[in-house]
Amino acid sequence: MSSSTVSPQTTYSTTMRASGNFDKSVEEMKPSKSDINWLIMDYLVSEGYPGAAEKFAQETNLCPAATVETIRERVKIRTAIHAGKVEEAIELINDADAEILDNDSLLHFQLLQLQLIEIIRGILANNPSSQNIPAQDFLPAIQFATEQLSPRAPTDVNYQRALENTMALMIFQPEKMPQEFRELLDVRLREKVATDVNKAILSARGERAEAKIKQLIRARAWAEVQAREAKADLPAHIPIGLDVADEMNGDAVMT
Amino acid sequence: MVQGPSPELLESIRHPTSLDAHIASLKQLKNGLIGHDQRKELAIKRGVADILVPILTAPTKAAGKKRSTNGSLSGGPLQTAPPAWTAEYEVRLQATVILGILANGGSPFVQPLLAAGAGNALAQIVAEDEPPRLVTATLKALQHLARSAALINRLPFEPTALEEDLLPSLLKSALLNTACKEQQKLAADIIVHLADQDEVKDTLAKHLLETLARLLAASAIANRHVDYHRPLSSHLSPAPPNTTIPYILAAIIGITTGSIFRMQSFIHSSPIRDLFQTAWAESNPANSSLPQLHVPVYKTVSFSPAFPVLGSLPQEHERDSSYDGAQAGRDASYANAVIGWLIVLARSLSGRNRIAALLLLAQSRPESTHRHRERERQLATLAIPLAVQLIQGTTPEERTMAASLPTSDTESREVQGDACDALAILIEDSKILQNAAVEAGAIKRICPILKQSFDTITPARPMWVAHPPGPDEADLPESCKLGIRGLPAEIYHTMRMRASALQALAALASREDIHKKVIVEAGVVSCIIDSLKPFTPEVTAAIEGRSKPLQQFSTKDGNGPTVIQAACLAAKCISRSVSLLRTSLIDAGIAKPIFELLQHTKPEVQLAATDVCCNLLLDFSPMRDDLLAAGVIKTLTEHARQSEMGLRLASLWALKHLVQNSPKDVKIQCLDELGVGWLVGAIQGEQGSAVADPASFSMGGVSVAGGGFSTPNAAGEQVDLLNPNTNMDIDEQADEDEALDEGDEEEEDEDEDGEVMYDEAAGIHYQASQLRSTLHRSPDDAFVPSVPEFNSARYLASVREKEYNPVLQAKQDDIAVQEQALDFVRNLLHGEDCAFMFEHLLRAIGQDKLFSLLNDKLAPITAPSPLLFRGAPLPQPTKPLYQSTELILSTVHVLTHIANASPTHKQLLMAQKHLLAHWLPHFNHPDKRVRVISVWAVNSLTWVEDEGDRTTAQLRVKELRSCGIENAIRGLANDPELDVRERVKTAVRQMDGL
Repeated sequence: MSSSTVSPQTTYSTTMRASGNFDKSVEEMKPSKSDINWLIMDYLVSEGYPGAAEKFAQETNLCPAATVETIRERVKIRTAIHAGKVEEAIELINDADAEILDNDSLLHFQLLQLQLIEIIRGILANNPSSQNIPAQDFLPAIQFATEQLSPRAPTDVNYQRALENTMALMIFQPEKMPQEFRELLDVRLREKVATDVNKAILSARGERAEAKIKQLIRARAWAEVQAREAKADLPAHIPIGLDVADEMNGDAVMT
Repeated sequence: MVQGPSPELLESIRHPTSLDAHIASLKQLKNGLIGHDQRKELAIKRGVADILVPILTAPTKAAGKKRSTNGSLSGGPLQTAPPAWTAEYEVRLQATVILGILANGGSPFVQPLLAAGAGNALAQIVAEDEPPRLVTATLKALQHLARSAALINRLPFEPTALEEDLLPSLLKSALLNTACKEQQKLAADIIVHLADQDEVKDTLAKHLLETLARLLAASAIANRHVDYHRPLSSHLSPAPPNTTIPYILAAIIGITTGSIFRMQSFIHSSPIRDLFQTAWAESNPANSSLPQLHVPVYKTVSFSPAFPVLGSLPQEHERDSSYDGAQAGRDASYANAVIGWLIVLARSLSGRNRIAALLLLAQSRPESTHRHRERERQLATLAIPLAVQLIQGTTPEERTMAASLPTSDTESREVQGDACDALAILIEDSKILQNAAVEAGAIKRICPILKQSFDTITPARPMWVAHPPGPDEADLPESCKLGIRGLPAEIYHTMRMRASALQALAALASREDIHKKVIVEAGVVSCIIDSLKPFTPEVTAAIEGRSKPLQQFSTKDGNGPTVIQAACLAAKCISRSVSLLRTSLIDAGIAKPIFELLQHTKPEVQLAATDVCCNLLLDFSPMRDDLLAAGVIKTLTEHARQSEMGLRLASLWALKHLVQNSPKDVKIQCLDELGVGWLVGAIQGEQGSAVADPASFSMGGVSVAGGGFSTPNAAGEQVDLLNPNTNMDIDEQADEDEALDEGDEEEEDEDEDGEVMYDEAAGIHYQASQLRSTLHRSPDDAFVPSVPEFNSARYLASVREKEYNPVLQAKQDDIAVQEQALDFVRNLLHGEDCAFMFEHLLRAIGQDKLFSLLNDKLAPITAPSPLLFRGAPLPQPTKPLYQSTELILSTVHVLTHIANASPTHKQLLMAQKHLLAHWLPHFNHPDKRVRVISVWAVNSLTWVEDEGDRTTAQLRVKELRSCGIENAIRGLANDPELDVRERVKTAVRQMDGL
């Protein structure tokens, strides 16, 4: 760790400046408290922490950009997807905004695909022997695929491949499954779909699809690379500080 | 296999056991439909529309449907607390949402939903009675319905819904609802998609234009685009968020397109007026936000009058002559400032938002910047490059960088198309701006777009169905039958791009021959020819759903009507260059497709093709013979006799070109096909009583100036000496028109402010202002008893009068036809066969009839009946009133040709004492063209054909002397026009020589 203590006020945005003393410039930068607060609030809202956002709003006298209700709505949807309850999630999304899935056929397809995967997962789990699952056990999955996914499959080669890969889950025995199919059963797919859904809801409401701080961190990394390429006078290592306290560091002044 | 909603589910919605069960069933239906187009189709076929619509219209217990009658809407959104959310509301909400997603399915769903009355039911939900959630959902559903309906050019509800103020009040309160930015956006977007027909636009303008202007003005103040020093007046609403501005701009554009009156209503609406009256008094508001320009004045390449014949630029011609009236400069006092502000606005936005601002700028430009050289230069350097830049489009990398840029290729292409449209309107009829666009690289950016649009496209493959649906049962009610699908989206977009690119090219080519050449050298002529081909029958069948969907779409499959019209426009503009007409265009074989288009089913396409024909039928055009062989005379004469005015005029115009310098038999064939009786009727005028028609008296000034819209002005400045102005009376009258919505107080206000604006505008800043002030002191003013300052309400009223008065419209059209008919006669007589043709005409029409026709055109118009003035006192005309300059000019041209025929014909003309007497005043006509041609005619009359003619020539001179023409000629010896003086010299020499 460098000489300066890492605190929310710390900023490294001065890396672009070719001044002699980097640390001193860092000290000189004083991002306003309200900027920092705004950034935190933005994170809480878009990442879905309704309780924290409510508390934080009271403490800082900030009014949250979105109502707590809408944050809760998103959290509920995310939780449902994480729990594998995709049908419930779809209904919740439709209640929140009927247009999202009606217009975004890719997202709709991804959700339905996930739902199919969950159905297959359930079938696989019911047959722990996993040697010979009777064919009729797969009937619900096949019926679901026929009704929900297959109409869209021929319209785009990507849909088709995704459907084929998912259907293949029913052919392979779990332990002999090739890597690309096994990935579909990974729960991280749920997280990815949940993030996409969150983004879609946010942008449908005319809000930023991503917390500002994420952009800032990318900008910070980009700036450092640029500065080093330009041979600016920099310390050998500038910690971002993410490992210290996850949410509390950011390059606030760069907004 | 796709499962539609089960009959049990529909039954449970139709006859719910409880509210909760009702909600649950509706939600189940909704979740089943979202994202599944095939299921939506099945749902419609099973009668979902008829089940859902009654749910919307059923009265709820919580809040009965009461309509606002207290006019509180004008004051803004009502602040009363919305009723509590009940289960009944939830039922209606779910039904509304389902209707919305059904409508989102696209054009086929419009027909059944409308048949079930969904549009009306949605429009009837009046804002203030309902909770905001339901209103937002309703607006969303309406938005989807309006969007889908716009694809097939339909209104999403009965027009009565608009007239009954239901929808306007819903939209208005949504627009003013600052609490919900989404509602503002939705309302603006609905307006965009509603505005298609003129009647709808008029209604929308009446109800909503002021509100939209208010929002835009508020945003201009909030963004400091103008210096606004007064405290925010009460009628300015809080500024909408900047993300909503593009929607508001689009809504304004949607409403104002196609009508100068509506555009002017926007510029002269009270919020905009307020914005600039105060700001203007302090400084030139928008200019301070624009960079100072240090550009030398453009040297414009002069447009060579490539065509010796009457000219084939109807619009340009009209515009130019109407602008001679200088009032364009006057009304611009702050209309001009609006332009400056819109430039600032366009520069502050990016991507498709910038397009919206540019489009509005483009629309308000022609009326305001003419004669404002500095403003035009500002547009050339600051606005045109923006449009050209947007035409270039964006790369995917650029798109990821900035959030405001379009996110997909389709969207990016849409922006390019819109940018082409905006550019086309911006540079229309301005040489300076056309040059600026070419310099910014417009041609080399647009040509690739046009070429690209001819790449073969493969429409998206259809969704999979296990069992293809059988044919619809015929006995299904309308609300269960799907409508036509229309063009697949990909083809629709391609067509749009093609039309926009062609339009932009046409605008670039409209003046300068150099630009035409560059465009042709870019190799797009073949594209233009390909764009003239209509859809093949197979494609039409596929579009109308009579055959299988298209698998592929390529060049040979043809084009929709908008593309064809745009291609005709481009062809017309390029064919104005004689050299290109005789090289590239003949090589490309343009005659055949154009001739085929004359037979097209749509009159708009016929008209566009006829316009091209005008240029292709000129006597130096190599296509003339081909077209004649194809039988163009028959088609054109048929169209000329039609009742549709535009087509009649264009066809007559083309025929006029056709008979110029053509062989005798062609001339006679044209005359015979047209019918002598019809021709006489056309010259006489439609009403046959043109002389006594009040409109010709009151608006004589209009037609004099070429029938343009912008002739008279609020200040009553008079342009034509021959037509003492009576416009003021009309203005007074129209002020009372309720559509203007102006109270008495405001009226007074305007008078004062008008004065301020006028003085300010007359400052040294604009050259045009100086022009204006000199004109103001011109002798014309002697005839004007009115107050000189500018008055928006009066100005608007006069614009409105010209646009909406059907009598006036008919009159103007009629005069235009008369003019063309006279010119047809003139060209008929022109050339070596003059004597023969005149003899033929005399036989066909009859000597007395022919001369009385000509006499009527030259004679003063007798006192009008006071019909138009509705009780207003009629100013005693100090001078007799005459027909419009153009008519007189055409008539004198015919006289000149008669004078050029044989000596007997000269004698015949001299024998028409009345005619000569009525001709006499026109030797002093303010238009030099009339004077020149009149003297030419005398030259011909005094010409000695051979020795045998000498004595008769002496008689003719004697006659001329006795009727006062000789004196008139001698009086012109010091005419300011060189041309006139030279002709007078010849005439005097010839007269003295006898």
